[in-house]
Amino acid sequence: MIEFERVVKDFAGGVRAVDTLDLIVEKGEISVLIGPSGCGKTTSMRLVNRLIPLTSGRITVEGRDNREIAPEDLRRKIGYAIQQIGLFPHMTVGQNVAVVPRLLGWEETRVAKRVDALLELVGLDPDIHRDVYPRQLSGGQQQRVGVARALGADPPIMLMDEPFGAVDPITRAVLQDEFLQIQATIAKTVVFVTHDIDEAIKMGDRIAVMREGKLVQYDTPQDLLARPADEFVRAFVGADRELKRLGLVRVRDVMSAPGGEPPEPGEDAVPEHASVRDALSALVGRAFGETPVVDADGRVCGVITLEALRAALRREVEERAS
Amino acid sequence: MRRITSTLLALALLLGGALVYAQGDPIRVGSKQFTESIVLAKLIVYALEDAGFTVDDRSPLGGTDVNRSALINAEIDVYPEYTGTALGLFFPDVDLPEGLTRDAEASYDFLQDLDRERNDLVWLAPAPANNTYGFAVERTFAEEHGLSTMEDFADYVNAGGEVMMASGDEFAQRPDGIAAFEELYGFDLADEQLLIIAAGTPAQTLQALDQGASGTNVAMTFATAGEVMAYGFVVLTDPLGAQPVFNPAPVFRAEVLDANPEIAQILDPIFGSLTNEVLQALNARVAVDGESDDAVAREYLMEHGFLN
Amino acid sequence: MPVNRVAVLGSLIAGLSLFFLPLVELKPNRLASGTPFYLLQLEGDLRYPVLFVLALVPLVLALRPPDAVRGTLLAGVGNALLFLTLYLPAVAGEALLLDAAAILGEGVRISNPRLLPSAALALGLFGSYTVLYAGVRDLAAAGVGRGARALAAWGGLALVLLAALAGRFDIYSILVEFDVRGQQLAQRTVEHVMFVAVALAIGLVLGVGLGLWAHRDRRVSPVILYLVGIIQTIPSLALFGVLLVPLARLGDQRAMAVAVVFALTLVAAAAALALFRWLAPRLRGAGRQVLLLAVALLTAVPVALLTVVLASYLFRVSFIAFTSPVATLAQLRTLMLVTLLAAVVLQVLARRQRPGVARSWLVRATWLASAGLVVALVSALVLASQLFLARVESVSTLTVRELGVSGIGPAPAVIALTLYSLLPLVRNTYAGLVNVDPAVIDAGRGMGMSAPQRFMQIELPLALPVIMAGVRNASVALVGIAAIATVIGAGGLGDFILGGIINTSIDQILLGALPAVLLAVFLDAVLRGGEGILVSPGIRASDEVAAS
Repeated sequence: MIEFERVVKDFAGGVRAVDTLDLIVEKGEISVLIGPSGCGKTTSMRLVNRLIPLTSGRITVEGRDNREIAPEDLRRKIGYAIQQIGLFPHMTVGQNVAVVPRLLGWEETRVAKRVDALLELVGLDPDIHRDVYPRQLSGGQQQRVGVARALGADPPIMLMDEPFGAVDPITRAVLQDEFLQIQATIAKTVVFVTHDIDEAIKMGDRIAVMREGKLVQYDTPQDLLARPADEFVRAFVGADRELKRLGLVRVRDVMSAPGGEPPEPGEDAVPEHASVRDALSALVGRAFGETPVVDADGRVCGVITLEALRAALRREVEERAS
Repeated sequence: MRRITSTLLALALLLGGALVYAQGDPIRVGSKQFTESIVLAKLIVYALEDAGFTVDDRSPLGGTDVNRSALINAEIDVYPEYTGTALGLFFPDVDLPEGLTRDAEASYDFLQDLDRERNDLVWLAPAPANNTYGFAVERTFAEEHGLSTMEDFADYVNAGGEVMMASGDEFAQRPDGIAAFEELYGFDLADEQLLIIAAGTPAQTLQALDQGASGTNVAMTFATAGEVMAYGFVVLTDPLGAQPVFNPAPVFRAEVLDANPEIAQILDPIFGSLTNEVLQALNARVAVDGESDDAVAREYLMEHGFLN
Repeated sequence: MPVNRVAVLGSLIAGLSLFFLPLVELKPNRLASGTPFYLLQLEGDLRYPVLFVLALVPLVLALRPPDAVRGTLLAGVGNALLFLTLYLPAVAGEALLLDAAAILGEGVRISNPRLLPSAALALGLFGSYTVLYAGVRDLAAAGVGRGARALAAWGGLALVLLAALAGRFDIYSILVEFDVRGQQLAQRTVEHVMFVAVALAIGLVLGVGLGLWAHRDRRVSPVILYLVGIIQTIPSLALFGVLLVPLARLGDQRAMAVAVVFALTLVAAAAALALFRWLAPRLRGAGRQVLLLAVALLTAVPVALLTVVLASYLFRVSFIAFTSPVATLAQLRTLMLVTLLAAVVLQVLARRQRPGVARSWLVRATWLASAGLVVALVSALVLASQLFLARVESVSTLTVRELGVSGIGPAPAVIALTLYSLLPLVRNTYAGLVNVDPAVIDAGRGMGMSAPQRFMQIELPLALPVIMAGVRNASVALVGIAAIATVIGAGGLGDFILGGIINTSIDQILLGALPAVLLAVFLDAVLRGGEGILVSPGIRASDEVAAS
């Protein structure tokens, strides 16, 4: 758990980058810091592992004031992945991943095992990739190594500053999915900085919207989309926030039992774990006709209709009103 | 770093006692960078070594100015210098008596006194060889035009004979260079009759003559240059004495000679034996035949019984 | 590309020059100019025309399809040409010498006559080598193995070396000169190498140190870069001359007094630097420039003093350490050589090994060998110091001259060379460090590396290629500048070069210049090799890393 208590950061020249920030990142959750450039999100993150000293207030990490811990020790216990990846180009992939374990003085055999395990975790074959250099990898592979390296010594906490920023949208979506899968098993406490609202909604257990150093709203994605705190947040999440909200609802939760014909080969079908937003897109494609839903094995397990969708939305609006 | 140095020093002081060298300070010998100066330095080196001195052979050291300031600043103990060079360069503030530079003995006495008094330097007895500047021509050219003295040359020039003379820039421009000959013998070389080689040495001007570069048929030379012999040139004699006398002599720091007075007895007879012919022959063996200066100097000392 | 154009070029160069240009010049003695001879003018048998025809053979070979056969033929012809272009004129020269008087005419002093290689010989060799290179390229393209390619590339040269050792080329003028001055040459070469090595060693410590400082402190960096820039603009001839008198005076001083002066100026310089760092942000334009200059000059005093004494002392001591016949030193030299080789071999092996127990042992062994090298070197220097300082009676009467400082000789040479090495070293160290990607350093910081760890594990390895390029620049330049040191009686290969110019002996010039060129090429190759070992394959620009 990370706790920001009335944290202030002033830079030289009197610029207040972070203004009285109170924030709690719950254990095992991903908290996304988001906001326009210069809102203080990256600065806030860098205060956690003391890459920047704070001006006043305090930050506790796992219950301890982070100023009580020597900066190097503190940082070795906190995973760190950054936007430009920051892989060490002169080290092999394996050496990159092994940096923190080696700093902590692990035995070489344990380091080697850990490196292989981490590479497998992020979907890289250790035998192929361990001994190559970063420049021999694609951008997506480099990002994976960046994540593996941040996980190096199995830190309970991770700081991620736009870790998937440097790749194309398709690769980014894949990396996001993969990281969510990994997170489901490792359950780290993550501070995740991004400027991309879609990424925030997808990745965050909670989203902290910041503006000019101040925390404007801190909520779950659903609540953020449903009840923006003010005009700034409303504008920031976008006019299509209701559509985005659909992105958070799974098809399997709103579909009706199967009936009618199974889909023709090549005909559009919606996977059951897809979001309702995707289902809506498919419905539009069929001029709001019935759309089959398939499970992971490709078998039809239900249908989705405009009526079912409408019913689900109505339920939701009523819930919000009450 | 200073701590390391001082540690090393302390170590050396503790352990070095046993290794103290038996010999006194070595005698450091310099020379200029042309053949004759090196040969003279080697003669000094081997004669002194033979007499039991430790010698530090620094030849060739550099130009006249480097040798002179090294000597004055006690960086070397001796190098061979020419009386004429010393009078021409080292005492610009002194008015030299008329005709002094053309009188070998007077030049030497004058330098002996002045350098001792001013710089604590001692000129040992000079060689009789007079390595003065002169005009060299090809033997066939000399025979053809009947040239053997500078007077003959003046007649040739004044009769409209063709001349292209290779010269170093100093010799061409200084009043005691070509100009002194022109005045004394009554001829005049125009600028376009001169092939000027910047900082040119006789070796270079003589090579220009040998190759006939730009139609060169006359070259500046030293009277004792070995190359003259190699190329088969003749040097025109200077009966009226247009040039200062250039007798080579070892110039020592007085301190060294005072501590080792026997040095004069060792070197005087050797330099006394060096006539123009002898020096020219020694120079030729090194410069032309390509023998090593060490070997030539050693053999000369041996053959003439200067070594024990 | 079916036609081997490189071979055609080489063949044309060799063939045309052998036909149109003089091959050798027969010189009656060391100085006089000689009589030129053309290849086809040489009498005797058919050998000489055959060499000419052989030079044209690659023209035909180049038209063959590109395969191993063409490569083999071209390499063979190239090697044969290379050897024969040197060998046949030497044979012809022997014959000419028998009749030298008749050829050279009367009235010429014939003594130690010799054969001066002329244009056709030089261009013939160049053409041969070009053909050879074309052949080896064919072989490489055809996938011929390394061993065979090495044989093709070096076979002719090996043959030339063998013939030279057997005395077949002794008639060539440079070897006649070598015969007389070989021993001197060896000593001058050692001096030359020592100049460069000592200057580079001190320059490396000072230069990398200053570069580091410039990088760490943005406000000091202009002072440092300005200072080393000024040094570089001083012509070397002038620097040697200028150093003479002050160094001679410095040599007369007591070492203790100089140490005190050093300490005082160091304090003054430190104060001035502090003042500059405080004032610099508050000043603009001319005032800043003036202050900058003043501080730079003030800082230069203790730095110069330290460099002067250290460089002079280290040169004298290393010269003893590496040349003295004392048995212990000879043993230490052997030890250095062995540990150096061991360290290199182990490092290369370690690089090839997968991480694991075996590799970590190799790495440890490398460290051990390196440590052995350092210990041997330091021991040798300490021992040599003892020998050098053996005559010192007490520290209080010790003069700086006894530490090796003097106005002429190697001291000013090494000092000047050290100063000249600073600019490339400081600039490249600074540039190398500045250009390290800040994201990478931030990552290191964020992962919990301490400042020394970041420097050793990230900044230094990443800046190393640039720093090494500076070292190579500096060393090659120093080999050249060291040749000028002869004007202050320092020795080195410049003795031959300048002496040869003054005495108009081309052979003497070449005898100094060729080793200098070889030395520069060799140093560059060695340093490139060192770069290959030290620089990670992950950031090496030149070659591709094979994916494993």
